[in-house]
Amino acid sequence: MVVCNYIGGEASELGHIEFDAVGQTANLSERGFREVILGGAAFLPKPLFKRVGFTEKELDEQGPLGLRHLPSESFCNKLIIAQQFYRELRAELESGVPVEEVLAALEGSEVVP
Amino acid sequence: MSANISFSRLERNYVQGAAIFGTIPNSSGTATVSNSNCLRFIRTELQNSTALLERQDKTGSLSQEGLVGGRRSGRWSIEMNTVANGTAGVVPDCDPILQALFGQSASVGAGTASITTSTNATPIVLSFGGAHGIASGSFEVCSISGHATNTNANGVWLCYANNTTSLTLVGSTGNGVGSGGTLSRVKLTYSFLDTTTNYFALWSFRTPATLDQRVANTCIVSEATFNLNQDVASWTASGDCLWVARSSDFANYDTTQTGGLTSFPAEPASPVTNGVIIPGFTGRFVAWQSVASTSAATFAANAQTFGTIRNVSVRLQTPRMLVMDTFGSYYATTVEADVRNISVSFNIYDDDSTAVNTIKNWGDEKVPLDFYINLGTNIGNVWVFCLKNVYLANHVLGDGQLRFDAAYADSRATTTTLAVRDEFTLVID
Repeated sequence: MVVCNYIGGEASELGHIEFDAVGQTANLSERGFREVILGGAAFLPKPLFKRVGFTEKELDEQGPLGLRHLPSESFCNKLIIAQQFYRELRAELESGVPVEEVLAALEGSEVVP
Repeated sequence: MSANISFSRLERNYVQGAAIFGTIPNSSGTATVSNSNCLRFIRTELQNSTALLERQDKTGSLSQEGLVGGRRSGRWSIEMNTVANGTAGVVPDCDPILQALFGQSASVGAGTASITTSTNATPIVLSFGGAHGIASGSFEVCSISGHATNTNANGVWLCYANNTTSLTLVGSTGNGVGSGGTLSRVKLTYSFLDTTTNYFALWSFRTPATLDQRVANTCIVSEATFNLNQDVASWTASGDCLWVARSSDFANYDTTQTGGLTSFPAEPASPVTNGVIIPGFTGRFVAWQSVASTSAATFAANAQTFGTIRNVSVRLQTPRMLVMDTFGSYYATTVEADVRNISVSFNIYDDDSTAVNTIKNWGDEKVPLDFYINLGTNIGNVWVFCLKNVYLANHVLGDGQLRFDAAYADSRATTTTLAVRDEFTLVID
């Protein structure tokens, strides 16, 4: 399983499950992770998400889409960084790099074989 | 045994870019449609069109004899809410349709810059500690986030680079002297290329799976219309396709009809969709004369923001047609294209403001105009319709409602030069 966190600007649906809060967690199979990333849903594997440095307070107060009226500069900057990580991850998968290789490259990736 | 009924809400569409004419994306004959291709939509029509041939010679009777099936093709059309991905720089779920419309994939912008201060003025001017990256004297659509005090600056703007460290936000009005925040140049830009080789496959899966499932093979786009100022923004697109294959008849198909598949696939189990609807009445409508501005002051004096627009339609006719006259083939063999016709039509409440009088003058004098029309306000889900060199139709004053309005029928946008094909650009930021 790949443990990942949502970092999308608005909302995405996986099946009938909606993700609309930055930091919301999903557990996906490797194949599912690949399809989700290629499908445009902005998730980061947990180690990469942690690297962005969102605080618990930020995620509680500004993470949910409905609470994000005028997000702080700090939150906005972290979201910009997180979404850049996502675009790079997506580009790697689009170019044909195997998902296992992408995940293995993330130091401390929580991938359970 | 009773048949399964078919609820129209229990339908999902999937759209896949296709690289080869006549081929539904596949791997050794197995369709590659997957969860990542799902596209939410309002309605879709997929239909085949097989010509009927009738004998033309005289028979000595006024009755018609039997007919013969002729050349085969299909049509597709779709209506969907105007929804971006929500994450800047990531293509929307409808991307394969947009690629086929524009003839190429979107370019993805890059770069950020830290804002130091902003002016409490109309328009707002931002200052940066270092270079913002936009060439002096040029325009670019960018997003601003995290700017404090002068919060009106946050959002998606057409920016004019006064110099390497200062930008003017076109159409903005300040609400304080602001500080901080980030300018981002990450966005998608769709622009035209004169190609006819961007196709897609459009799948319609219904529930239960025993119903007839369909796929339109080698779809091309000949028309799209974006409608603004509805409650929920929506757009439509349509065109021809090579053939609409049906699951129940798949075993009897010839090789063109199967599109390279060996069997009709089942619907993917866990579709991924992205984005949120846009209130169709949110955004901004700015126009000015299509002249190269040499300074922000010149530009600011010229640009007009229209606050009383009633509705806007942007219509893109990109006449791409299947070649249906190849000897020896029942099916189309390639795609041909004609000149694009890009137009905007809108209604604006009539009043005695400078903006309304100016646009009437522009229309009467046939002054070419540039339009920047923002739809939506949330970064990642703002569609900016950029029309260049628009020649306004003569307006018609309408008194069919409580207030007079001025209606501008389809007004055509034209390219600045034939090399740049900039009559219309779509930016999603």
